[in-house]
Amino acid sequence: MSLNPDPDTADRLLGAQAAAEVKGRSLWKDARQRFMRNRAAVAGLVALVLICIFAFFGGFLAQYEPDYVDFSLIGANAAQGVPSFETGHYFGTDSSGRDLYARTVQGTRISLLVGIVGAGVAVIVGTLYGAIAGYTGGRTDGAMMRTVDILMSVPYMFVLILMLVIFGRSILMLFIGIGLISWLDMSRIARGQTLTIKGKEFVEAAHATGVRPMTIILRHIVPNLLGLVIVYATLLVPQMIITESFISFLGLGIQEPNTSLGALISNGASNMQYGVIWQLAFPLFFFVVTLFAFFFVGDGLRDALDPKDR
Amino acid sequence: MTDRKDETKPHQAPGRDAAADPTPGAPPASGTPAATPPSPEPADVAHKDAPVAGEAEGTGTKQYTGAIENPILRVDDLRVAFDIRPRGAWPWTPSKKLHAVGGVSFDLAPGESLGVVGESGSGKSTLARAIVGTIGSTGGRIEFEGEDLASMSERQRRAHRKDVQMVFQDPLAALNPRMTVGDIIAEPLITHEPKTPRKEVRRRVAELMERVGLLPNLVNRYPHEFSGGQCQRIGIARALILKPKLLICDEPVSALDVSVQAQVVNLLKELQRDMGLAMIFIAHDLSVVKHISDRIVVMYLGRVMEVAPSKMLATEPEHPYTQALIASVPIPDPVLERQRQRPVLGGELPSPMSPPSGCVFRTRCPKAKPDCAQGLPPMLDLGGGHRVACPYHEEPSVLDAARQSRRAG
Amino acid sequence: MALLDIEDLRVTFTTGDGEVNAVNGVSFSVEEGETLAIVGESGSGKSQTAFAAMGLLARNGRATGQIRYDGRNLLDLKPRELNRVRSEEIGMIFQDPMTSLNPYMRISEQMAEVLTLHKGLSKKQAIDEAVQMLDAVKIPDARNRIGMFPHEFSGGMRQRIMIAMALLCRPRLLIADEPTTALDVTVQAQIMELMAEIRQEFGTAIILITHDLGIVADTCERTLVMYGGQIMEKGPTEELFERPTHPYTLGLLRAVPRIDRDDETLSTIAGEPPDMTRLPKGCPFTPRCAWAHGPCPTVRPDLAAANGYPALRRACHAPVEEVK
Repeated sequence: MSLNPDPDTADRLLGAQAAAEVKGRSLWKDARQRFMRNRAAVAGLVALVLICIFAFFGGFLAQYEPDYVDFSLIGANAAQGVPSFETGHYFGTDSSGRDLYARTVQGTRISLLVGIVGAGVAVIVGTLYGAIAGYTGGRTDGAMMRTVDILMSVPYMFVLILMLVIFGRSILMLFIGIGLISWLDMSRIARGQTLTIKGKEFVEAAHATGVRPMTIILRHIVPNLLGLVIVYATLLVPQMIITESFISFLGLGIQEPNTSLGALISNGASNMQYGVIWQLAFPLFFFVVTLFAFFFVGDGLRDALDPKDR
Repeated sequence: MTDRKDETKPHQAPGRDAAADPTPGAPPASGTPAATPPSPEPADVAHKDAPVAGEAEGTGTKQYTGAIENPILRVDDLRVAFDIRPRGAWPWTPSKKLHAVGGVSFDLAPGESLGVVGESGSGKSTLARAIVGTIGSTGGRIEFEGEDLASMSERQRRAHRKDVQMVFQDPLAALNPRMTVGDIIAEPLITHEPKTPRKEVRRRVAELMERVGLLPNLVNRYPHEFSGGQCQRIGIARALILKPKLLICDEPVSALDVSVQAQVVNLLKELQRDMGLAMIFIAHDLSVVKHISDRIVVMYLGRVMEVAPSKMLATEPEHPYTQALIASVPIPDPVLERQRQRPVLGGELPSPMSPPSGCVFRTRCPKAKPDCAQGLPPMLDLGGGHRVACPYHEEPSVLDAARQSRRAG
Repeated sequence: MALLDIEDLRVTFTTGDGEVNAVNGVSFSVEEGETLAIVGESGSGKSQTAFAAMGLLARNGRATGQIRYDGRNLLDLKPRELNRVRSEEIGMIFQDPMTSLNPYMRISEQMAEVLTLHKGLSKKQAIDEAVQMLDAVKIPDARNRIGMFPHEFSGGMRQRIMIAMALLCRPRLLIADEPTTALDVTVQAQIMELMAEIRQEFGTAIILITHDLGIVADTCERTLVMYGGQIMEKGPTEELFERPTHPYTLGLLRAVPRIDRDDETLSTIAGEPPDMTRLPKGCPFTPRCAWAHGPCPTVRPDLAAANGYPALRRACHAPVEEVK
């Protein structure tokens, strides 16, 4: 007597399955669903989208160019540069009589760019570097990771400041400087995770089949790193923004007439005692909201992408 | 290197003798009528096959002598050692060697199914990985169809990888969670035959999925949407898409539930027979290995203890370790089980970092004698393909002692 | 009165995918000094039954029903009282000993802590007692090795230490959850022999949770077969193995390859283990059962006496005579 169900039963079972849809539910889709259930993260994401819209399209609403100086306002800022819809200076004016709304839009845009470019370099360079070091192992790994150690031991803020002083202050220089250091942490994280993934049987299976090392790294290792990398990158963006702001606050970052949130906050802070608190309040508001939004999104992503770690 | 000579000689010598014998071992798969051996030679030999040893009585089991003519795989004195660095050691202190596999030799005929049994630390998985080539060997030869894989460069070897495929222990971990089932199964194909048209790839994937008992319309699903047994079927499909000549299964069913285990074992057995695959089936569970293999190799601490056709091994084990192993396997029958006297093996596996001198099993062996510590025991050929690495195998066995005490009791 | 009496136990987990009913109305009892096996595959709810009895469910789990130990319902006890019962009267052994041994504490400290806390022994007395217990579980040279850390022992030795720790307060009930699954067969045989000796020596009742029918046959007086969170069949081990009356038990027993037999192909149970989020309303085994008919998918069979096999209780709609 066989224990297998009779053909009818088997057909019925198979039929039920065959009727079902064939599209797979990828891990990404799962993660998206988990993310969408997290209210704080979704709120962060909405805030982030709004800030991006503000940064990239807010300029169309401005009544003034960001570098237009209203000489009549110089010296009379506290009285006449007050935020108001009538004058068209929604956020008031800065100490040089420029429209703070236009300046904030520009500053937010540049801060976001700095953060995203920094994190982007970190993601691409750091992930590949770490994955290659981790997968290759042995002496190559040792040499590559010691290089990272040496680079990390250099006080980068000092180097960055030196670079900006020697090569002049420009956005490009700032990007290069921040890009140079941002990938170091990422490469270490990527390498650590690669070592774990490398031990998994699916990597061994690919190796046993004869898949080339670089293909293994790109097809099997990197996609499985991405979850972690994305989480880290979203947390890296605000870190980059803070770094840039700090440098700008020191007066070394973005050069006039360009500006960033850090530079605006710096200006606002130095004029605080003259009763022009809006000069600090508006940039600071956008700065804080951006950072919070990124942190919430990053947190949400972490919960969504590796649910086991909770 | 004297120990090496000691060990290889005894079981190579009878091997050569047997190869000269006009009646070599019966070809594999000839016992089952439905089988279609991949190469014509074994089928021819089947007709003039004369009984080699008197013990031949089983219908399903086949007879083997020490060596096989035209083996698909000949492993000769294979050694694998790992470098172990003590924690906190200086970079220049020489690392210690851990001999995971210490001189293993066996032949595998095309279409034959060879079981490898051993407990943790026996080196059975390392052996599999050395043959597949994900771990480098430190000595000996792995001759696959006459070519030594062990001495090849990584680049040369890549071309040979399509003929040797592997099925892994953890069904889910062996599948990339970010790839669809279709991509996973197709990977070996697009790696070795990158010019295959997409349509053809899809057709072959669907065909194979059906063959291993998966619905082809699940091709776009991801591994986590499948149960353990289904994942193992996916792993098997991936291993078979290139129509390999040798399939190595490393504990393929030990992570599965009992009811699913039987499905996968049956599937593997059927595929092996139908495709004429040579197979190495590695497991710690002797009853599963016995069920699926023509011949079994018993390993302990990186060395071969005993080799025999599976039925013979289960009924007449000669090595004290095999005897203890069989006695330890519980039988799901309360009446039988309570009658059985078990010579429970004392002690624990010695550290592979400092294995015992001489016979590695002597520290736990109930028959151990002082001279077991001197030099490796020779591999004795008992005929009928039964070889044992114990000079005292003829003394009353542990099982006999148990049987007698049962009769007395 | 039974030592442990479980009645209509239900365990529910709240997960992202909805409610998962891991255990669905399970009732059984364990007598003083008895050995009971709970057999099942993954997802059968066998471990969750034990965890519920020990109050060790994961945070998203909820148990309802009755778990009467010595007359008291453990589900009603305050955490403090439950803790006391758990540490002094019920011992538990897990599959992986490292989950319950603190890797940063010496064995001596971990064992002595239990004794000083619950039995009020002095540190020295506690160590002496601990050494005695390690001797009882046959750890060679216990007095000298008690100062070692858990990772310095092999897997089999760690499991022995776990057993020794579980026995320290001389519990009346020992729950062993897959105690030998991670071990080699020769070591498994050692541990099972040890458990049998302990039962004789201390008179401890044992609940052995396992998927391995082989070790059940050897050690347990009564067996309970679970599937999909429900009891499929229960009865004395010998009768149950001799003549399984439930299709699942029958299939399970035939699916195990046996070293003492030669079968060309193994019987299988078709299909896959149950999806706990989508169990049928009736018998959970219905989709895989060859005897499934009319009422099976919708009406849950009661656990009732099998016709002609008075010792067995089975939950199946198919007549006994047909299931073979």
